[in-house]
Amino acid sequence: MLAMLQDIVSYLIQTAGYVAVAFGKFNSLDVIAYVIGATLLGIIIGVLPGLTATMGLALLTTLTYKLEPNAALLSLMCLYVGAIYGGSRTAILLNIPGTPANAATTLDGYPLARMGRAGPAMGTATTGSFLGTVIGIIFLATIAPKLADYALEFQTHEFLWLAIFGVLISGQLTAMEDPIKGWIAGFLGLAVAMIGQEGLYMTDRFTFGYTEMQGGIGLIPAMVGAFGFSEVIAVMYNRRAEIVRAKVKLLDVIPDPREIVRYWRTIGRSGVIGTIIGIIPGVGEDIGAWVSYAAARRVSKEKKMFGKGSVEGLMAAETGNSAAAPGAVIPVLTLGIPGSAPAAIVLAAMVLHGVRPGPMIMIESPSFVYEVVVMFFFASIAMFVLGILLTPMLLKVLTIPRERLMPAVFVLCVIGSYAIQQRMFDVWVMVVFGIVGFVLREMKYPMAPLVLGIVLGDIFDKSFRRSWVIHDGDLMFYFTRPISVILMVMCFGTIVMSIGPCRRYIGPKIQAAMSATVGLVTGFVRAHFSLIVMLFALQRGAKAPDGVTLSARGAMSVYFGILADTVLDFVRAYCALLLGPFVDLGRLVTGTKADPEPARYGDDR
Amino acid sequence: MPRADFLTGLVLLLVSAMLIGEGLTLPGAGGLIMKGGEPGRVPLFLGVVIATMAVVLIVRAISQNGHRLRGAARFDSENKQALGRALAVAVGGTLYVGLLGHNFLGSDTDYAVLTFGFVFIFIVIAEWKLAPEIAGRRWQTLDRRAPAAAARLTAIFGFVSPARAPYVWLFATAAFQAVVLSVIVSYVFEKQFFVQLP
Amino acid sequence: MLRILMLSAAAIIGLSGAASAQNSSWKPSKPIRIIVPWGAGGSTDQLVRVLAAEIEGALGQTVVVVNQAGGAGAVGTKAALDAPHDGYTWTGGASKDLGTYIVTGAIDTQLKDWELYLATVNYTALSVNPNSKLKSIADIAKAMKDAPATVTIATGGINSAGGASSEALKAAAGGDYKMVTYDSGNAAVQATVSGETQVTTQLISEQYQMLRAKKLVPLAAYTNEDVTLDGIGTIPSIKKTLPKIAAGPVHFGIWIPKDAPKEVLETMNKVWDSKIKASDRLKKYAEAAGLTVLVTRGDEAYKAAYPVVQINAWAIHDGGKSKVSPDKIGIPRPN
Repeated sequence: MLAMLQDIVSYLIQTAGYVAVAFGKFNSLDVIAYVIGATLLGIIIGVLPGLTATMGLALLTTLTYKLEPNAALLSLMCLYVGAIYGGSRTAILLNIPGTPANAATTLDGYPLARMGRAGPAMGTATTGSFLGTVIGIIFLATIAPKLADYALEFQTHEFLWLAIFGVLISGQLTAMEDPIKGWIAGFLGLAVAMIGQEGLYMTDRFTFGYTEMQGGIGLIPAMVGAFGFSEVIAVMYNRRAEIVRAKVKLLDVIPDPREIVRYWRTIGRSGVIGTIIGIIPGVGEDIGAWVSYAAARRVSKEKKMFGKGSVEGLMAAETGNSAAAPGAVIPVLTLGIPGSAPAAIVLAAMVLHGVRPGPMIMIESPSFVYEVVVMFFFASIAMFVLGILLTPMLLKVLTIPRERLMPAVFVLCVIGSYAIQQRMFDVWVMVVFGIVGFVLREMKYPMAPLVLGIVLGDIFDKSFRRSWVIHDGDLMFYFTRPISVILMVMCFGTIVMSIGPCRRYIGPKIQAAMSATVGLVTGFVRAHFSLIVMLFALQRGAKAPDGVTLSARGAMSVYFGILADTVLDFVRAYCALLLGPFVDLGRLVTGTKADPEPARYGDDR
Repeated sequence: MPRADFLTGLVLLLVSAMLIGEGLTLPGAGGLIMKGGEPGRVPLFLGVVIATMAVVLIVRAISQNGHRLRGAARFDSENKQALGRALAVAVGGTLYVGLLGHNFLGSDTDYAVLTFGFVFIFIVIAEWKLAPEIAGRRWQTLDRRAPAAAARLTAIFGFVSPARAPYVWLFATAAFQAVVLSVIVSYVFEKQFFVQLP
Repeated sequence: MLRILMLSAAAIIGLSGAASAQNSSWKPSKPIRIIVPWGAGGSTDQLVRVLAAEIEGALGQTVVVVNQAGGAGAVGTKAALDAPHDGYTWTGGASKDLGTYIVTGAIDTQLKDWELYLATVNYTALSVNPNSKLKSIADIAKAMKDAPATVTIATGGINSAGGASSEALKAAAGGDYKMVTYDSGNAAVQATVSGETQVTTQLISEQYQMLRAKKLVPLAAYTNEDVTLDGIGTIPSIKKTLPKIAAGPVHFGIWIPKDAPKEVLETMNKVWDSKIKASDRLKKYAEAAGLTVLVTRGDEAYKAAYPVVQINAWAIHDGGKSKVSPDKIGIPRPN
């Protein structure tokens, strides 16, 4: 056990060393200019409803592609973090999420503002966003290299099932009330990826005889269309928003450090949840915020305040969405699969700048992951400082009327989709995706699975057919590799869970199993933590506050006590889970009614 | 929504028919193409999956009477206006892109000029109805903050003061924004990024 | 009007930068664009960027590299072909691709339509996973005959250098194998390293890091002579085992349409003969990437590149992927 601890500690020290080395690469003055400029731009984009992080990233990719790769990617990360944060300003003041990621922020942020506490609420959001990003960064630095190592084992069929799983889970989670629409969007994305010359035998598909179609549909033009042009249409389609002159004093928005102490559990939990949601392919910041918010409400002591101006709820939402940003970059780096829509742009930008993200990343460019960590770190610092200093000033952009802003955005969409490859075909792709995207969006089809589908379509197509070629069409090979089996089970699980009755039956059980497992792990950690503390105390011969001297035997009994409790709880929970179905079956046969089921995650929205 | 779902379902069926069609006509195994690696395999699969989901969508819509298309399509004037605005943006944007780099009225279109035109026309059309109100409000603001400057402006430009001639004001500001935008974008992309503008 | 204003402003600013171009007769008045028909970070892209930097210094004008990937290089090459042939739009890549677009029916252009400026040459090598049971070319040839279509060879596609090499192996050794195609040469190499496939026949430059790390074992190089490489040692020529195999190197360089203004080509000739031939940057890049420097141009370059085009064109035709027979467009079957 101690050896494992030692390993972990030495791994962490090693990671810190790599990060420190990576810092050395960003030592010029330009860096500061890029960081400040891009973060500011990000916050402004975030503040303006109708301009999203994804759109900002897609346009900035064009604006930075002549820069050095590191400078360009640094700017993108800063804009990413800035935009997700900036959206909270509008959510709190106007009850309009500045970006989709801030939808959960409105629930408690706006009520707080109506109570006259807009300033402090923005301070809370700043704290949450900053700490959320930091938690995400820590996971990025520690998990990504290990995950890349692990992903080296991934062969064709793992990627196949990962692609399917990505589309399914993204469709399911981004279109909560109607998963089939999410799936349709995802599969349409996969179908879009079929256009062009396929990668195995160079056969033309859906090119209709045009050479330009052979190259397929570019991700960046498609996304500029789906998130830029369609947003321009949507903004003009919706009712004219009232122009608000929001006045906030500088001193009001300074965060209260005591909140960190008061809400450290919420911050930690939301940070972890946000990161994990970010890692899941195609499920990003918005869902990260919702799930963190729901989890916070579930365990909160002030449950009734949620939705009526709870600082805790606001903190959870803002920590959750900000942690999802570094989280979404983890699969980009290690698998070449985007964790969210903005991360898809980050992926495209990395490819554009000659970095090849994927399982080979730690072999081909081992320092790159740590450079990304440093970029995010700069971004979070800049976001924190600029967010506090400039919020009152930045809110002035809200007075720009849409009639003035939208034509400029459209001009940027045109030049942004054109500039990278310099051909009009890409601009037409942008226009088509803009119009179709607007129609789909109005009919409640989520865009994130569509984008993920475009990215994954190529991987899916090639791995599907390649695995058949290698194994001569023997379907059994899908079952021979553990990772592919797990992914397969997850795929079918996702489908089953979307069917109402199945979900209502299985959902709570999965939650119970998860919480039992989490209980086991935390119990283990707690036992060892207290053991270490007690061993230290023993060595020093320290006395407990009540004067009783700690004996070795006492320490052991405490240690084993905690362990036994933990294991017993775990076993009890699992026995209940395993026996549960039989009990339910018995109830079904005898006709007795089951206890009413508790509410589940999704219902909390 | 059921009606929209019904129509989407039909469109999706069309898309899946295309996918399946292409999947069946693409070359099969033989030559260098290995068995199992046929290029049409995945489009075929996607076509079938999308068709299945389309059928689910259609069946669900029919059960909610979504297939009855007649009669229910009523738009109130606000919806009509919104739809008009969206359509105008879509058509206008497409027109702008269509003209880029093409021969128009005898000469190739110039990016900067075309961009100026697009932005200018967009703003003028979008703000036309609001112009009197906007101009009036701006004037009030100026009057309140800097009465001296406002008075001087009235003395010189009295005949076109925003309050009296809001449309002149609209044209002037729209043209200003359009010029600034098109110059900056052309300059940055052509001279800084060496993009050959369309 | 705007454009004229900006051009004149740029011209004034540009005057100061034009001084370094005194040796050349052609002074480009605006940035030159090189369209790389492959993605950023690939081997073509890297090489063209190195060359672009050298040319930029020699001409005193910015050289912009634009990536237009797709259609195995066809999309970007077509864009360069369709652009005005005023000497301001060039392209680059592998000459064997440039010469065979007409055979696959992708673009109507031939090798002789372009002025070739070759910079490096690269060879394919047949390598296996260290754990593979196949220890020599003879083993592989035997396995291909004894159990047809069981040996898996990873390539970057049928039109890639590796694809041509594995087909050549089949033609020379008899029997059959299973070609497994990947997105790129690098991905094919990685698949062989991970054990998904047994053999790869990709370019040495794509295998270089893995060969040096001993994660791949080179069995033979597709060359006439043995090759000796830093940190890898000597790789025997494949002709030692299979004397009749068609083994063509792959040439990389920059192409300018032949009907571009004369002064452009003359100036480039000078730049190529003086600056690029003596380029340290190119040498260093080639060394790090496992490439061989071969700076040549004009007829000489054409003579070097043509036989490989010939081999490649017929390989495509025999594989059933051609739209026209190569002999109809004046490419006779290699003997």
